[in-house]
Amino acid sequence: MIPWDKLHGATTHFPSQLGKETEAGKTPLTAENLAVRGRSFFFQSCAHCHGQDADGGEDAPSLLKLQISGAHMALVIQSGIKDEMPSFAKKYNEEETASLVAYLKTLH
Amino acid sequence: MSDFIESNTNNDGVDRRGFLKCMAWAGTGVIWSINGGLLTSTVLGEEANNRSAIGTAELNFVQISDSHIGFNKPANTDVVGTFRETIVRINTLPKVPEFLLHTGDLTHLSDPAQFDALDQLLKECKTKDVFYVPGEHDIYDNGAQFRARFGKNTAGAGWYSFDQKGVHFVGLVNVANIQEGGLGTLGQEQLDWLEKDVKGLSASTPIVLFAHIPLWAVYPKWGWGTDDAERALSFVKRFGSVTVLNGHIHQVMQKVEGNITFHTARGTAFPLPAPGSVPKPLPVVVEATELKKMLGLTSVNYTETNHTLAVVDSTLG
Repeated sequence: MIPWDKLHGATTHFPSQLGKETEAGKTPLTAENLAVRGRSFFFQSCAHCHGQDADGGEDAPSLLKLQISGAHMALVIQSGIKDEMPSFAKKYNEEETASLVAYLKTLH
Repeated sequence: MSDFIESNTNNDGVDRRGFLKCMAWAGTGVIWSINGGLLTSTVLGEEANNRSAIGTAELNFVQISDSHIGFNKPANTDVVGTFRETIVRINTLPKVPEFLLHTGDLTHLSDPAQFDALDQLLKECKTKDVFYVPGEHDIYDNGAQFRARFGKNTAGAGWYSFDQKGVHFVGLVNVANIQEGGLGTLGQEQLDWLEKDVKGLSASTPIVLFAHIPLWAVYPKWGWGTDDAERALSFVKRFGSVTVLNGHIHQVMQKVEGNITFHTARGTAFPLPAPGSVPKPLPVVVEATELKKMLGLTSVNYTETNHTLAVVDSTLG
């Protein structure tokens, strides 16, 4: 299960966006709802390689307890890793990437 | 819809464990032939057993899947080589197939260079027409590359239909919105389109649905199924002959349920384990020599209606 109790303490690498409203739902961009959105992105795009439990999968490593900063996570998501991981820059914009990062931080 | 074999219900001596073990390996592609409106399948490498049916068929086409161009892990460090070998097998069929169906995961990382490599490889194939549906590995860029190359004249996320010699083919996309648990999803818009697409067809029209993730619950625990597939299948139940072709699970499984035959194809890249045989569906690593030997070794046909399990073994070498 996802440790939802940890969401309240989650921060993102885009703190400047917190408190702003999304275009569609006018929902405030709190760390909590960023992570909720990020969770759905994770299952959509990451889980089939990194595992449904994020603990390693098809040919990608575990994302549990990542020891890198949120900014580094965002950079990897946006840029990819040559021959290892695709870039998601065309799929997830900055805010969506921040959501994914927020979710990954809950996995610590 | 029933899911998978929980126990042996007949006296064929093959229990679920045995079935799963046997079906783990199969050919690199499947050739489909239509004779008198009936679809029959032959695993590539076994076509000598079915030469006459292929030769006299009204329509032959080959299903290939999961080429994962760009994959470079120990399970297969030469996915280009195994894909090329598949093309050689297609080229040496007794009759050139009219077209190929690629049921997704063309590439491993949606990289333009990987799509280019696939294009180049397919130029070696005598069959020039190829119809595609994307796998989840083809849309990391939100499907931009895939749609630009293969999505012309498609609707929504890339679904479409076409007719060939009286058979109605429908390419569906069930990887665009994968949910927690990994199950594929078709979505309301696509379901509405499908209902409309087949509505005016005569019930005697043979139907072929193809998509990446299986449209039947092969093993939901690993996401090997499609959440809203039953609705899609409800639109085609009135047809006398429906064939559902999928990839994703990198192994051959076949099930017949009423007038609907479900078939998953072996990938050309690397093997995945039999459902439930290990905790996670990780690529299976075998010795390089074994990998080649195992391709095309075993095909399994499970007919749910009469509980018969047929296992056919053949070697490539």
